[in-house]
Amino acid sequence: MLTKPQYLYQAKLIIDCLPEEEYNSIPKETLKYIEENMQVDTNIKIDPEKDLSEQNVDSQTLLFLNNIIQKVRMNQLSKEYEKDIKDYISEVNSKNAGFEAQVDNINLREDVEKLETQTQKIPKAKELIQEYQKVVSKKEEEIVKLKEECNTLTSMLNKIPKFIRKIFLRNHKVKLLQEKND
Amino acid sequence: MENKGRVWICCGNDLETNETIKMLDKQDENCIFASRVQGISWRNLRPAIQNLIRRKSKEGSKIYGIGMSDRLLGVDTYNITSTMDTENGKLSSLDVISELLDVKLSLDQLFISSYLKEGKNGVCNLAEKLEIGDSGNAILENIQIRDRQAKGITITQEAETVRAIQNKRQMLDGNVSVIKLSHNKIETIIDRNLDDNLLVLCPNEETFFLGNEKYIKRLEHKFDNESKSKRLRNI
Repeated sequence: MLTKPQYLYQAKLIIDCLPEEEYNSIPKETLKYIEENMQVDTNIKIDPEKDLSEQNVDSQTLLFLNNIIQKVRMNQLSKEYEKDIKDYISEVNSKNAGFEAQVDNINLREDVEKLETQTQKIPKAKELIQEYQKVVSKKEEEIVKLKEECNTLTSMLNKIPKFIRKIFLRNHKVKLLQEKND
Repeated sequence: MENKGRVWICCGNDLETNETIKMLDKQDENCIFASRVQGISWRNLRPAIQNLIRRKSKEGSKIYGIGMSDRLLGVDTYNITSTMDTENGKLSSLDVISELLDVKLSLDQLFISSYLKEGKNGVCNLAEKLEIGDSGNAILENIQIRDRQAKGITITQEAETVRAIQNKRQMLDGNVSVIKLSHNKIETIIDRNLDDNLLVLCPNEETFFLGNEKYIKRLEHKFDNESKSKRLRNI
């Protein structure tokens, strides 16, 4: 297994064998990193005429090169779709917002319908309350009226001779009325 | 039907099927939408379609099936599935078709392809690689919405799900949230990626659980006590 400086050197040797176009697609910072961290080792050799699979390439070198390939592919992808990206994101955001608005709209409509149903009940409720208030306000008048009637009746009863009154007092209702007024 | 040397038979009812048909239509390919059933067998296609396929095959056309399974007797068919493992790594049906037709995937198709291969992570990873990581979630949401729409989930059902989530209640000391849906489109819940442990109640006593497995036993015990017909399905 090679050390880091060694496998970076081996990677450099492999990269130097690439055609110019492919070499230029490698990010400059990656090349700079290799230059700054590699260590020349004359024992490490790469034959540009032979396939890499037939040569003694360290696994760390292959991994490092694979990462470079991924980076290059991503850069190419980014460049390929650079023009489309902004419009695409804008369209996505717009469609998502439209969808959310539709969903909110449906739920709001449902809430409004519920409120309308509840609102329709309000006049009926008002009517009932008004009737109740009427009855409550009349209650006092009714009570005064009843009291007057009761007092009139009591005074009339008091005018009746005692022995006749006793006959009436056998009736419970008359008796109670008398007790309350007492 | 113009003879392009290829006939495509598409089956399914999701975003992948819609995008595939769109791509093939754009390239003027011979495309037949044969069934809404994903993974249908060639043998279960309507006889008229089977006869057409046999005839086209005899004429020398290559027959490709997307969302199909099995084989058709006497016909060489090529099944393309949502994801395929190849020596070049995982490929989606869109990747395979674009290679066969030698067309470049659009940015949207690229994201759909990532979604088919690796789900949510695929979309977010691709967004990171394209240096639009901030938009990853929005793109994922968009794809999932369109996929649900392709599957026939209506906007009303989506709205009902949102309302049901707002009205969720708690059980098992607040560790499990209970959501009652008026439909059984569980995807409307799954795609929203809620953090809670969720018990989702659907019509016809269909029940789903999403979350930590440790709550399932407790819930199953509760259901056993209440009704034998209620079954808990863990997703």
